[in-house]
Amino acid sequence: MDPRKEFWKGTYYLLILKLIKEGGSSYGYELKKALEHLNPSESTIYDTLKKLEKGGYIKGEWIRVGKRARKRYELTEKGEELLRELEEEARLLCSFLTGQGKLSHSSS
Amino acid sequence: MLLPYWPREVVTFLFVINLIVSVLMLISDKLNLNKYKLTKTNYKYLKIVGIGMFLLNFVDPLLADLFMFIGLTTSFILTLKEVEVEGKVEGVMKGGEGEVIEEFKYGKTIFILSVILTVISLTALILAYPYLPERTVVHFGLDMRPNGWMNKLGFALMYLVNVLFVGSLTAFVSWASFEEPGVLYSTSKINSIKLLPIVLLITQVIDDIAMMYLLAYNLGLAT
Repeated sequence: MDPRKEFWKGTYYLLILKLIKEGGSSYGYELKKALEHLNPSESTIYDTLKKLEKGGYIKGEWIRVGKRARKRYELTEKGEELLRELEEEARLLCSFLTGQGKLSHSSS
Repeated sequence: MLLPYWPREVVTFLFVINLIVSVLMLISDKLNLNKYKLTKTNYKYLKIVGIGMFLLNFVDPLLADLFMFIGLTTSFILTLKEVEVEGKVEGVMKGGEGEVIEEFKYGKTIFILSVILTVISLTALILAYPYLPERTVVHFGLDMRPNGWMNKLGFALMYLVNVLFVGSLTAFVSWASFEEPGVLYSTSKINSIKLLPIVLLITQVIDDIAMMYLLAYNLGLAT
């Protein structure tokens, strides 16, 4: 077990949602490129995409690219909402790490 | 031997054919079979099936053929899975905007029909097996007279492989046609997203009916 790898595993949902949102639509390939330095395996990206799609957070469409088919993703409303929530969680973690907050959800 | 009632020449012929086919599979990458559109299956799976078939051929040629059918179906499905992963992870290449591949709207119906057919055929075999005679007819001549026989176990294995082979292929391909149509597009040279599930379902209907007819014939229910 590599604790660093385990740490990043959970963040792929946030990262992938964020990357899809930034691009507007269609990314797969750019997505893989953008995450390259984290060195995720293909199956990690695949599993994350598949779970997000199943949960209705992203919508995939098969597109003809020459003789091959590639999948293009878009965020759904549910996905946008999840992204906002995950970003909030990430902010919580950041503020804790920088010593500016506690690890609890504000009850406002 | 699963083929105790077949003429020696037929068994030898089957053995030689199997030997040639299994060796072709073992050297499939050297022959570059995919280039000639003979197969779209991944070479590494073809080789595994080839080794198994080559060895089993010395035990029983029919067993080797049954193994080949199961092996090829499994490897084809695994190849489709790989194509799916690749297509999903790679996404659209930069600047490669193209048309959307539509789902096949009758894919789901074909999938359900295919599964029902498989279940019916399997149930028929399970119910009929205890009543099958030791010597079963498996082949008819052009004059509709029996000309090939097998023992009970051989018959059941042949029946199972036929039903499961065509059944799983039809089920998987029709599932892909409405769930992941891009996978079918990537593996076929023609746009067969609609054609392939239909052709496979027809094949399955014919195959399952033929098998159930054989079953009924051996039980003495059909003439």
